[in-house]
Amino acid sequence: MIPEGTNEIEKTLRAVLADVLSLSPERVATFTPETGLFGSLPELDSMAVAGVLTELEDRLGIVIEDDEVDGEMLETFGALTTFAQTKVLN
Amino acid sequence: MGPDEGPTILSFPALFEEANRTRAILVRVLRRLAQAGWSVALPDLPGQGESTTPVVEVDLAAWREAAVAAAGVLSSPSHVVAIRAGALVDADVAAASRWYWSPITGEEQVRELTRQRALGDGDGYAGNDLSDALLAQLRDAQPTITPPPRVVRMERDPRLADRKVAGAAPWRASEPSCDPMLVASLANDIAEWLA
Repeated sequence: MIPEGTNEIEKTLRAVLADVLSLSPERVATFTPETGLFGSLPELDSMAVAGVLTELEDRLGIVIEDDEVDGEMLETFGALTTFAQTKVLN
Repeated sequence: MGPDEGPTILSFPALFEEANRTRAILVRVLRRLAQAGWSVALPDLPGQGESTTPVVEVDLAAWREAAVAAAGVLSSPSHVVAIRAGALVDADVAAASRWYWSPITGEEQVRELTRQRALGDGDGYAGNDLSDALLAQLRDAQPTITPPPRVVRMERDPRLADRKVAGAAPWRASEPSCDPMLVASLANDIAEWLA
């Protein structure tokens, strides 16, 4: 079952990545759950990670603790989407 | 910029890395206002911008004093235009009005700095060596709400605002572009607010 609002969260995540990493919406639209983020996207350096997390907090009304941030949740678009969805639902 | 007499627009940029990312837009907005006949001032706070003072030697109290001093040498009345944590700096300026673009609390600024340090490679806060006094003062600081400021935010920011403008938040972007539509929206909003 797909929880309500899941699609909206994925849309928000795409918009945040486009805005913070200065990527075109067309490029971000091609991201699949398997698309690599941290370590794969050269635009996503540590400063950009800080920007992505803070902007997600603002737009989704969530709080991300620093100890929740690790390589795994940033590894792929799917992993980050799942993390954000879990945060919003809890 | 602009004439030497009459009301002045006194502007305070964002702080730290956000200042670099928003400066080009701020300068273009102010240039448009100067061309429209406003007298415009963009003072460099100690430890920020072109200032030669090391940022570790300053704190928020020093910035607030510098803001008052800057207002003192300008012809009055002063209208404040501030971006992001710049809205924490004008607290003691006897401003005729205040216009804030996406103001943040000091707590939010410290959180952002702490996150940058936690994720970064070096010791400092995104390349800044900051004093404990500055961080402690920032934590308690809030944007000034008297007189009630006009608040403009980006359209994708869910927080309350008097007006939302289209575009991407330049303070978040690693390589922000200088969006001419955004410059025009901001300059027009300031001009209408002050008219």
